[in-house]
Amino acid sequence: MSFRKRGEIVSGPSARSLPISGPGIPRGLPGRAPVVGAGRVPSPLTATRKTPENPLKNHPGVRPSILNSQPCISVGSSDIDGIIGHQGLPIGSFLLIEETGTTDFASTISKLFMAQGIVQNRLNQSQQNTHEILIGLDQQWAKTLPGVYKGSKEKKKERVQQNESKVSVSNLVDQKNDLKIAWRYGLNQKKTETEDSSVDQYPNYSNQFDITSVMTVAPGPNELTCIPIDDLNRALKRIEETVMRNPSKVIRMCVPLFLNPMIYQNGLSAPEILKFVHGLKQILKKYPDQLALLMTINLDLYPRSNALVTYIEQISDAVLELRPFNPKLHELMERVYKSQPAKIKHGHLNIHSLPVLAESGLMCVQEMEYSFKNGRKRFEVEKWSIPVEDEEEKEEKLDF
Amino acid sequence: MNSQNSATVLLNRVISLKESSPLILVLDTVLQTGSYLQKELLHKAKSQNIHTVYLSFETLNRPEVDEFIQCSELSVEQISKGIKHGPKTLIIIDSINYVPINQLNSLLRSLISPTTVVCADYHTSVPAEKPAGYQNMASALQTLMFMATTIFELRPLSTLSDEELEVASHRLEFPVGVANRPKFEARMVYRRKSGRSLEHVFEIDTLTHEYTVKQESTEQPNEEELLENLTTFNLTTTHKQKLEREKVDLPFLEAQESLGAVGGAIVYEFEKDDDYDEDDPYEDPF
Amino acid sequence: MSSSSDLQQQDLVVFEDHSIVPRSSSEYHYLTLILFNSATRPTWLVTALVENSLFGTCYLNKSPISRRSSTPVVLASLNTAESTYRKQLARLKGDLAEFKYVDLLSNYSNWFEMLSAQIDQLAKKGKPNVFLENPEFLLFLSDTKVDTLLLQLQKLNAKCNLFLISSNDESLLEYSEIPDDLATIHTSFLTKLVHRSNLLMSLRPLKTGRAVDVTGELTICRGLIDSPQKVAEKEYLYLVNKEGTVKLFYR
Repeated sequence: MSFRKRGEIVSGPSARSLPISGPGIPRGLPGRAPVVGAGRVPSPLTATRKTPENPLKNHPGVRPSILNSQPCISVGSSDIDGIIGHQGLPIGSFLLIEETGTTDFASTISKLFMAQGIVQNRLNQSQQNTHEILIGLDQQWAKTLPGVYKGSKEKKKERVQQNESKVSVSNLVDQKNDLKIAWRYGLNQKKTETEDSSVDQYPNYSNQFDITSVMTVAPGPNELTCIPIDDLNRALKRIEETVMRNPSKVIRMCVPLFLNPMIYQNGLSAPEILKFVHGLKQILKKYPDQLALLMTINLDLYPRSNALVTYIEQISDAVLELRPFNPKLHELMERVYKSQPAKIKHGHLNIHSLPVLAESGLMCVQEMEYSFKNGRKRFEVEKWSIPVEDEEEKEEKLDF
Repeated sequence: MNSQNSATVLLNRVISLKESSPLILVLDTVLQTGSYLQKELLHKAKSQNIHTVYLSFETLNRPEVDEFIQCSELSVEQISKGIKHGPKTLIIIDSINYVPINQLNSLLRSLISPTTVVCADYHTSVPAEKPAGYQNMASALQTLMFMATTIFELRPLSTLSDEELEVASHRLEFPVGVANRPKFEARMVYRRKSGRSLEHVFEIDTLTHEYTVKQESTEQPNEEELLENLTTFNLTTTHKQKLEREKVDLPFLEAQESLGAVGGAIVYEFEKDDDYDEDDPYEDPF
Repeated sequence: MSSSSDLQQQDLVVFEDHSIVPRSSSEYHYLTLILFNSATRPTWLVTALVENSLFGTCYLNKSPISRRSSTPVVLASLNTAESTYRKQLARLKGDLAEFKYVDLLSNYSNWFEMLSAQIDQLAKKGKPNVFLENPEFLLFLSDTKVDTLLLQLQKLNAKCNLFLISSNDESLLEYSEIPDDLATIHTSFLTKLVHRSNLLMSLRPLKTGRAVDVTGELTICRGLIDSPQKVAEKEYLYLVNKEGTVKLFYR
């Protein structure tokens, strides 16, 4: 006889990035050295990446994986970056995000993924470092990318700077509340920054976005190429041409809403679809130091029990599934967390495979262990815990 | 005992090709291959100097036969022309699955003759596809079973239930130490010319060449009968009582449904070693 | 409950004579099928088999294998990038002169000719062991039919010992009567291969779910065709950890 606790806590990469002690060195936890390859000795591949003409060198949006030092980019949500295990998506990887139901949380992630690249690209106007490829959708969609969250670091920094310039008696006399708070924030900010050297070391790695806002200057064709999918073979060719036109840049490729009937024509055969997905992987692995791919697909139309989806999952390097709660559970959460609305989650996040780890043979499947919440300023992922009803309510129920 | 004796004698005669049975159909699965039975037939044929022909659609390494023909790229005419016949010939087809359904008839008709025995192996685990235009026609398996004069249905010798074996073969999970052993179970249907068909279940050991009739496990006596005259108490249940009992919802199972749905809950999982009586509402695994 | 921590680490043994890959013989051509589940990928096992073919050693095993063998190896995959296997092989100490990688991920149009040519070239040094991962991808990437692909694989097998690595996820085995259903094609291909195999190895996750100290189970079963070298049927539990070390335990 056996009992198993669903949602058992399993030791592994923590959902959140922990503050890193000791600046300068990319975190190589003991026992978390390179997964594959020659132990802790950098493999020849990583060595070649450090050659001067490498696009990843000094790229503000690239940091080494905490698992195997492979260069990674942020997906757009630091929590998902953590879930992936590497603290980001290793460049050269193919991340598939699946979603059940008629919600569209996956598109939020797509937009965060793309917005992240655009913001990083604009850090230095004289030298573009990132290009983006949007497959199946047009510039119209790109216009809806979210803007950077102003209440976060940037705003704080601004305020800190303001404050610092104002360090004077007048500053102390100033009765304005928000400035006082800002001053306090500023102090805190300094403190946390020394603790959290990862933010310090890679300040522009993962920007925070406000999904209710829109990027003030929409991405132009020089930073984002839209590729129509009326002919999948031609699309593959155009993708590769775009990649070749943008050497020494990090390229974020995104295929939102894959096979969604509103975008993809009917009458595509399964082999045609798989040839396309395999073709994407071919391009990805041909330029492994430059490209990363995010694809989202809805499981209501294409369930995981469909062989087509299984093949797509096999071709991809990482698979995450968003499974929004059913209304009943959502109601329960609303009731239980009446006073703490921040605790209300939107659904489960299931892991089916993770980049590099799954490929080298680790079993990465974790179902019903994490939950997600699509907040205004961040896409949160947390360990899932069952909502417990209040004692009072329970007693009431038992009272008969 | 006598009927058992005659059954093994019949099996022996069929396998030694002494009984008239021009088309032997072997139905095997991924869990019990027909290759050992083929070997057994070849072994018997060899001792009688019967000419042996092996039509290979999937076999790469040549078995010990007089003639070995790679048929994958040959047409039916080429195959039947290529065979040299002896005074008595055994033709083994390693897998008839590869013969398209519209050529099945012509191939078998061209091979079968009074002096030949055709032994065709059909893999039942391989999906039977129906090409367009054949939706209303008999399937290959139906055709073969209709034409065959002897049918062997193979199954591994094991304590696993039919259902467990079915699941294992469907998922391609091979139970270690059970699947594809040289000793296996074979259900034989032999059709006499009179139209009467005989059915026996054997255990065939191809290493020792021994065949035994499988002892059908004697049927479990009915629970009712067992309890009937055991004591002076009334231990039996009436039909009505049984129905009522089935209606009782087992509390813990109910609880699992809603608890299990949200995750994080401790759920009971049934394992095959658990001594758990579904009919006993008082037994709670917690 | 199965826990590996209190179990003793075991060596990988496949055949009754304690060898791991079939002994090279000019008369008999082995077909090995390695089945895996998407959650338990076989890269580590393939690496071990490649190593054993090339050098006679096996990184999974503590006891050194006395039989020094050097069988040339061709490795090809339609899904895994070459760099993945190169990284895995980098930890093997030895000369990779008799190892050829054929990158079918980036180019599969002439897969048969490319593999054939590599096999012929290596054949001068001995009959090679050829590993081909996800051959079923060819069924939808090129317009190859199941029986045609099987025939091509058999033609390759006639020159080498062939190891085919393919997935047996449940969703791929839910076949129907419809001939162009992906699951029907996959099941048909796989079951027909099973019926040709001499050795079956499968990797799958634990039925009880995720465990910290066990990655999955490895079963070694005789194939459906009896071969001269006898298979030692066995069930292992295995653990792959993040550093890439792998341990085997008896079940």
